[in-house]
Amino acid sequence: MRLIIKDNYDDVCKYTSEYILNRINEFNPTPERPFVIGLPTGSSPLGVYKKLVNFHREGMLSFKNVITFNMDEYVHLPRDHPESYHSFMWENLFKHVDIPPQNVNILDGNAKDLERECTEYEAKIAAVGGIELFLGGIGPDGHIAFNEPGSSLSSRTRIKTLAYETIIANSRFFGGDVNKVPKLSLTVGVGTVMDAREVVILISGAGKALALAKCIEEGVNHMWTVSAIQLHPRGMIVCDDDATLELHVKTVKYFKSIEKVHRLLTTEESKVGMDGKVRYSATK
Amino acid sequence: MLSSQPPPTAPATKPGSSKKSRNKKKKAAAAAARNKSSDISSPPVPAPVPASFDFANKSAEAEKMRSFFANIKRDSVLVSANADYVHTKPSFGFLTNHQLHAVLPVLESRPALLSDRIFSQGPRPVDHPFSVQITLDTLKEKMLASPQTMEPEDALMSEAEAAAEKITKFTNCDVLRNGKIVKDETLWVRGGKIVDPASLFYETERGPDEIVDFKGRKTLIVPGFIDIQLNGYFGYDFADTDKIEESLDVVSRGLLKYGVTSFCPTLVSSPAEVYHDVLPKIALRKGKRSGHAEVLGAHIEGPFLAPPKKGAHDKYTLKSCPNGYQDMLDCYGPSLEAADSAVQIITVASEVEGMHTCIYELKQRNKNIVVSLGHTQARFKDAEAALNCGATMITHLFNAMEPFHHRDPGPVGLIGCSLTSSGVDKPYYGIIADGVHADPASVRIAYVAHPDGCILVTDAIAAAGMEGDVFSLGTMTVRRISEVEVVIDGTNTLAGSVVTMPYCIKNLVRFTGCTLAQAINAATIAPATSIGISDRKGTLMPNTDADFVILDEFDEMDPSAFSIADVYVNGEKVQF
Repeated sequence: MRLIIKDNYDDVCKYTSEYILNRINEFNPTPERPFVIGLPTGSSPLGVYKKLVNFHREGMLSFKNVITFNMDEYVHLPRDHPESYHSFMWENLFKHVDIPPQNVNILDGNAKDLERECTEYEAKIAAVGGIELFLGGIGPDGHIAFNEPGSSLSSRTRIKTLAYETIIANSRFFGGDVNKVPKLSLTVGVGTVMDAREVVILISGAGKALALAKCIEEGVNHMWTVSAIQLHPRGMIVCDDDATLELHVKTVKYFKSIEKVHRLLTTEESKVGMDGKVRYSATK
Repeated sequence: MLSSQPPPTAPATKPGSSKKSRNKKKKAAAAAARNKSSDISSPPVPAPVPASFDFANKSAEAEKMRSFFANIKRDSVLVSANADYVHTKPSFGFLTNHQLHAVLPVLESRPALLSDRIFSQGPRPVDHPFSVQITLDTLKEKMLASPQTMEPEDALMSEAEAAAEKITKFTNCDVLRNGKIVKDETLWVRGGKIVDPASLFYETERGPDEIVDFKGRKTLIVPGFIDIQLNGYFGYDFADTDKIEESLDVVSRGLLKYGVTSFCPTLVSSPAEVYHDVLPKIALRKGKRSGHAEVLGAHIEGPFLAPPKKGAHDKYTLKSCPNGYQDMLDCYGPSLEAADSAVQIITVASEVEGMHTCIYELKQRNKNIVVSLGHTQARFKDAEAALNCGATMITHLFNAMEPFHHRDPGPVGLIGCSLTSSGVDKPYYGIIADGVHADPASVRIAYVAHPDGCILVTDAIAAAGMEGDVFSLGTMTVRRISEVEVVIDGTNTLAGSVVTMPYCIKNLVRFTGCTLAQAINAATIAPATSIGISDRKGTLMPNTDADFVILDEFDEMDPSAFSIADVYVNGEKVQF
């Protein structure tokens, strides 16, 4: 697992968006071989989306052959409700880029048969050849997507009841009225995320510090579901200084030093590519 | 045209049995029962033709419908959906086959209806430009040759056709949506309406067919301007009733270059015969037409006005209404009460005898007609009482009314009070912002007192857009004495104006210091809301009409500066 420690939220977003830009462009997606990416919602990825939109506007990034799978969606919230995750993704990303509507996959919280919707979602992911990169955030309780503490680490896409803490936290988007917040959601499972070929988690702010510490310094534990990243062959966490407040000094120093070495390797005449493979021709 | 939602993607109920068609069947059955019981000499009425729809073959149905309508168009008989009787409903354009089927049983049982009632609202049926006489046999023939029904009766286009409509995306521009500027926004148009792109993206999975990109140029897209008071333009006077069709045609095309995409043709005080003659003609022309501004209902200014404040109106036409609403009905004719009335706004003087009860009863009978106070000597109390009776607007504030006096503010005072004694809102008020009708300082005071109620009107007359000095306005002669001033010949009395709407908008910014967006609101969302059409005009919200103007050439030094680059009406770009 790589832990990239940046100074502040803006640098976290800059690094992550440039990482995604380079990954997609090096992958060089085509209609036969599209780049499949998993996307989150919430306040953490907003900065990343803004920067990706800017890359698109400057002509550096095209979404024509990118297929997206979102992590979650509320159940029984109308699709055009301003707080639904369909609206969030439209406003913050899809509106501004050239992604074809058929390439976008978001769980439908208003489907007649919710369980079937979940199994079909898993099937769709398998049908496009699995997810290349899953971007995600983390909750203060260490959850990934809506996999609240206690979720099985091998779980798949399913219906999930929201934790009361989450409902209260979300009520600020529903006019402060707890009763208006949806209580059920459809979410990808921990297993689904870890099946992706690469996982990138954004962690920023002091509020997530304890979660980060529990997830990388202690064992794999279903009470802190992001800790499953420890078993992933290509996991990466991008965080800012504030999020490291609960980590051991040794951990922080170690990861900062190893990234320094990585940066030395990935300069202009680079011998190592974005995916960590050693290259013998110096072409980028 | 269509203010209802587009038809749902999957029929929720049994095909053909939507609530409206069930109600119509009930009505037709009830009519049949009535006929049977009341008149024993007439033949029994056959049952209504049952609705059926070939869902498996939608695109073929759409094609048949399209060719049926292509033939029937405007120069055919136009009948109403009401199965009880038949009358002309020309503003609807043409009706759905569903409606024809509902009405056929009635027509068959009472063939006399076809020849005498069918033109009950028209003046001289044989010469009428928009309809021709049709025999019952021809009607039946046309109907038998066409498919049985259509899905929801309001949908003039089948789902297949709606799906084929081109989607245009305007991007890299600012949009004045619902009264506020949204920066760096996109505007999506389909089928003559503004659409919500998120719905298109997620539901139909369709992207844009055409992209208009304003990258690099600072561009603002605003709703089309709405002028609710103009008496004529380009040498045409709406009071000249013999040429009303031509006037409406020329003016509705010519106004487009000024960004005006819908307007209320205004009639000055006239004798009753004129209203009886011209209102049905306006009813026929009301609505949309490709390449023209939309004709909204008429603004009838008079003749129930105060003689001392007649302005440029002919004093011999002015009258009072001692018998209340009946006098108004006698004067304007049955058009006043028609279902899709040609009347949108009526300007009255509230102190005229019988006017309070008249306003009250008018509003009870037809909530859509707006009552506006003007050409009045009413003091503040009387004007306030008129508001309580149902008036909601003031016609060209400051002009032809008592001036503001600190102990009795007159009608002008209505924009100052927050609530009248019975809790009614502040009225809307028209402002002719030519710098002549009201001093800029007066305009500023009014705007600051009630910014949301300000409606820009031109009150333009036939002289507008023309070279020359002498013109006619109704029965009066008017003379232009400067670039923007027009007076009754031989006097100092102002007689309408010759300004354009963009000029008024720029003036409002200069006079009051408001932003350009606020001034444009006074020409778009304010008039639309005042006459109750904000659900389809003036806001650029999804499902409203795609009437909009593209502005550019702004100036950082001059907040009022702008230039009209393009005008779209019903989603189509206009050539001018």
